[in-house]
Amino acid sequence: MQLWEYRNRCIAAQNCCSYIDCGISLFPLHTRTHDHSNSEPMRDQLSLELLRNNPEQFIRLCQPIVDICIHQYQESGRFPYGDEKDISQTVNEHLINSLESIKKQYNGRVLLRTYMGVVIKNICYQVYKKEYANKAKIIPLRPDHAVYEPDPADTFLLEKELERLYTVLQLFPTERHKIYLGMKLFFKIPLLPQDVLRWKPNIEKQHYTLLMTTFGTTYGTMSLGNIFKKLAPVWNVVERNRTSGPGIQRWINDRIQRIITLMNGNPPRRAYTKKLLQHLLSEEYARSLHNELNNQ
Amino acid sequence: MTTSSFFTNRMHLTDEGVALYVDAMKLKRTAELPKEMLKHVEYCPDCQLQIVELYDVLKNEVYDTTMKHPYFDRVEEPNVGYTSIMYRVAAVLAGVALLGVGYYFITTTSIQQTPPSLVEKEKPQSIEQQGNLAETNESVRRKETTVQQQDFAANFVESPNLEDLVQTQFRSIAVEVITPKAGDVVQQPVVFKWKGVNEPLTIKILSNKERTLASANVNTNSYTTKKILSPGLYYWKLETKDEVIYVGKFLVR
Repeated sequence: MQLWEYRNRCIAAQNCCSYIDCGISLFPLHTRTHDHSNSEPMRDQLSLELLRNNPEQFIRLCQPIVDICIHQYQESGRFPYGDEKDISQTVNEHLINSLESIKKQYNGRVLLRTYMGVVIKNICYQVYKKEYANKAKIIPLRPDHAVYEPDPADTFLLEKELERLYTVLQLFPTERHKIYLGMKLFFKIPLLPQDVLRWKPNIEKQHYTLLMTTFGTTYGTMSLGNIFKKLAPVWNVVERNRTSGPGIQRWINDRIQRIITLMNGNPPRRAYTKKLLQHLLSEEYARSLHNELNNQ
Repeated sequence: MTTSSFFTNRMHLTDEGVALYVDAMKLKRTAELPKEMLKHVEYCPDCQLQIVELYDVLKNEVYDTTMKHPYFDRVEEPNVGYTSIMYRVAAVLAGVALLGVGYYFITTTSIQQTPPSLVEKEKPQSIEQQGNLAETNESVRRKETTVQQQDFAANFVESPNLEDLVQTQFRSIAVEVITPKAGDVVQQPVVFKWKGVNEPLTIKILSNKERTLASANVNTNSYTTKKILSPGLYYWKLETKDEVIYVGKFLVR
């Protein structure tokens, strides 16, 4: 398929409501196309009723969030493994004591489930500060970690990590396409047409062709300095500024660091580095390429 | 619906702001978030981390994308902006009128309160004259009382900015206030008590016109006012060195 034809198809696809069906979307800034006029009453109303009338059941419904929160604190070494039940009990005691203030303070502007996520997260933090912050941070080896065997479920891990990358990119609402393109260049991964077109849907033909001919195939031998030097003229036209190649490289480097921090979470529970992020993006590239070939 | 309550005094997202962003991500409606929130999050690593952290906590929760959301699907009242402007104009006009009336009474009173000259003092007053004088004094007293009542009422007018922050749950530290609860009528000296914080805090007491009346650094979980507060509506804040963690209000009768 001619590159320019592909570009036009992508632009047309971006104007339709279902990005995914067109096979070109990775992380659109979500816009709503559903009609809510006849939608079901939301599940949260039930929870609000429960909060008022059946607190016991309400607390029970909160348990999955409590468990995840405790698990995350364990993963980061802030809660010890093996104490889950005790910690869970402490968190629930706090939660029960907070129910009255939750009823008063919840003003219904966000979903109750999400609000409870905040409350439980804060309670876990309180419990950690009160009972565990002064203790030595020990991360014992869990029995199920002692012997590691590849598991069929591992194939889904990559899927989950890619999903996480897209989630993190949603925290850069206006720059995410630019960052994504920059990351691919930083890691010397070939660009796909949609990478350029998401960044600038109405890019000039000569700029588009220049980018795709230079970076659309393997360019692993090119130095980073040279890559960003070649990118700079197009970048400056698209972004309407005057930045040097090293300047763009520094900017991308900064954003990559921020993405790594976000990928690792707070408190850090993963160990992403630039190298690992590069692997993840390479895998994503391979999948996108595969999908593209299938679509042709 | 104002978006200011999604931001702390230090212009970071409040817990509610973080929750709204996570709602948007879960429901795939990030484009509908307030513009200032999107812009802030883009450039604020701290708020991004808060969002990621909450998103992780809720990662297994399945959100029904067809359900109505209290913020995104809120029904905007027509002409809210216009009505709001009209209210403001009316408030300003009323204020000006009030000031005019106040000024008139004060000047009238000051004229009438001018001590009579010695000559006048020596003048014998007829019963009729004495009656008129008593009537005039009564009228002045009534007018003075009206002005005082107006001033008194002004001390109880809510501050829109601070009201927005009262009852907002701030992030990081969940402070539990024991006394005074929001809106309590208090006895003097006012005793402030809270729990759940183990770090030095600054307590600030503000008038309903957002003027800081007292500020103190506290290492314990309580504080007692030293000054006697005149009747009115007051706000109080608890702050760590980095951010505001609580805003409450109380009344002095």
